[in-house]
Amino acid sequence: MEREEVKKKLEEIIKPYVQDMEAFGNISETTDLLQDLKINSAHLIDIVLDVEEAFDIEIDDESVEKMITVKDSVDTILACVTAAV
Amino acid sequence: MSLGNDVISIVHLVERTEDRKQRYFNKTYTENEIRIIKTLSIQHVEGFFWALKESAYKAYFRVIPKVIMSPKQFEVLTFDGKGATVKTPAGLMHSKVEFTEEYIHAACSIRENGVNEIEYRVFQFKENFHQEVKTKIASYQNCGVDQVEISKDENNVPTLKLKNQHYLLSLSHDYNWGSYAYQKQSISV
Repeated sequence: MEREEVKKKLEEIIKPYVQDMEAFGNISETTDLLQDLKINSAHLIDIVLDVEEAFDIEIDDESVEKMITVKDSVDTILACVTAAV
Repeated sequence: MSLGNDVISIVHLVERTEDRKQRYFNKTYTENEIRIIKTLSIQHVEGFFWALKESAYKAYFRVIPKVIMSPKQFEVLTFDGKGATVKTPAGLMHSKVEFTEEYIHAACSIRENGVNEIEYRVFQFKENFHQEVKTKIASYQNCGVDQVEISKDENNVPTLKLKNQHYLLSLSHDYNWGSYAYQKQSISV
């Protein structure tokens, strides 16, 4: 799976939880999910569950903690997708 | 000394199917927390527990910055609907919870009974959260807004300067709900 494809799918997943749509419009790999997009931390686990369903992967607790920026999240997803193959 | 607070908009809490709820529980709670939750018949219990964990995390982060939130490391040990104790890597946090039909709010202190030494408020805001916090505090303290300053350090940890005194401050917002909490006793900087 290509990086851009993962990123696009991730953006679709996080969009409903975003509270700063202006920041979402300028999303990049360095965007911080909590600080920049103002996603409430209470929704982070739901995003992880959505990601697991969308990519048919399982993300362990340690990896969840690393999903701070878009880049971190894409890297985590790609690592899990690769491991699952 | 440290404190934290967190507000959650109830209307924006996610509805989960039973299967999804189980997966959420497994990623968020320790076995002991799941045991506690099963004894409770409180609506939106996940919201309560998250507010407790997040406020404890904020208090912990103030002491040990740059730590990443790991839900299971902030374990709710006791919860009676009004208060809780939360175990963190830095020791126990003592929390107070309040809720309405619209929000859940938790405030915590690293000191036992310390939560009684915290001034906090939950409110609806429209646009500029920080400005509205300053206005609320000024109104409550019966002073001008120009006597209220909020600053953040390099780790994004806020401090309140009120009438030339400095106070530990915690801020939180979720959709149109905002909250602040500050230690009643000033600190030296």
